Amino acid sequence: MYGLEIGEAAELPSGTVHPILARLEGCGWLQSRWEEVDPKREGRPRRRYYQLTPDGAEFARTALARVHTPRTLVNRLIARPTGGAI
Amino acid sequence: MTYAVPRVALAIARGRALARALARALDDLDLALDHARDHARALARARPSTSSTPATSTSSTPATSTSPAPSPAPAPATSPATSPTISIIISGVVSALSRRRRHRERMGGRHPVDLRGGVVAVALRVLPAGPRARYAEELLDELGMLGRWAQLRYAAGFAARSWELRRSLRDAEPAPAREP
Repeated sequence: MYGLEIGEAAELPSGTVHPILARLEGCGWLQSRWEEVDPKREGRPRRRYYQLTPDGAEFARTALARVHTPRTLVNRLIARPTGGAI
Repeated sequence: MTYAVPRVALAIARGRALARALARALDDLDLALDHARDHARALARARPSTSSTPATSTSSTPATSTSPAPSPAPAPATSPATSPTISIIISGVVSALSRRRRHRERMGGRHPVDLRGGVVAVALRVLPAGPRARYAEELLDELGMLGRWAQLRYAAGFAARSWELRRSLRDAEPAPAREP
């Protein structure tokens, strides 16, 4: 996916996606590459495609699972040992 | 005791304002250093080409060749006291106006100011020199997919958050950000 496409899919305003992508790329969770076309023949600049690395995909899965489990905090509170000194 | 709470709140507010001002000053300094590096690189590139010709021609006259020819430094767009952010905005506007003049000269007619181009120029000037070309190409491709007003909106959004992108790029500096 390219920047504009990601922004539209995430429903984020312009300019917010690229800093996030740059940070994720810096973490090594995302990799980007140029589209393999000739800009002169296509009549437009090359497109930059972003893809999650295996590490990034794993972290994304974990993060999504955490987001979709709203009772995580409650479960953690329940699991905390009760009674006695801290 | 009754006066302590407002005083603490005031001190916190002042501290926050000071932190914000310091962060802004650091950003400006960082940007100024970046531009200074750009100029230094441009001068280093220009120097061999300007000094190579006199070096061969003045080799027989050591009196004149000993003093290095002063390389013409690029004239600053604004006074040195001007903030780098303001100088960036001015250079963006100037480049948009000069583009418009060139276009008018080429086409021989009136042409509206390319506001989008000016906004893009300002946004890109904020970015570090290394990945600037990459984001220019990326941004131009994305703008090409949008309508006229959407382009302006998109470019304005990009410009408004270009500082954030700059910080992200600076934080992730060891990662390979430039590609051919």
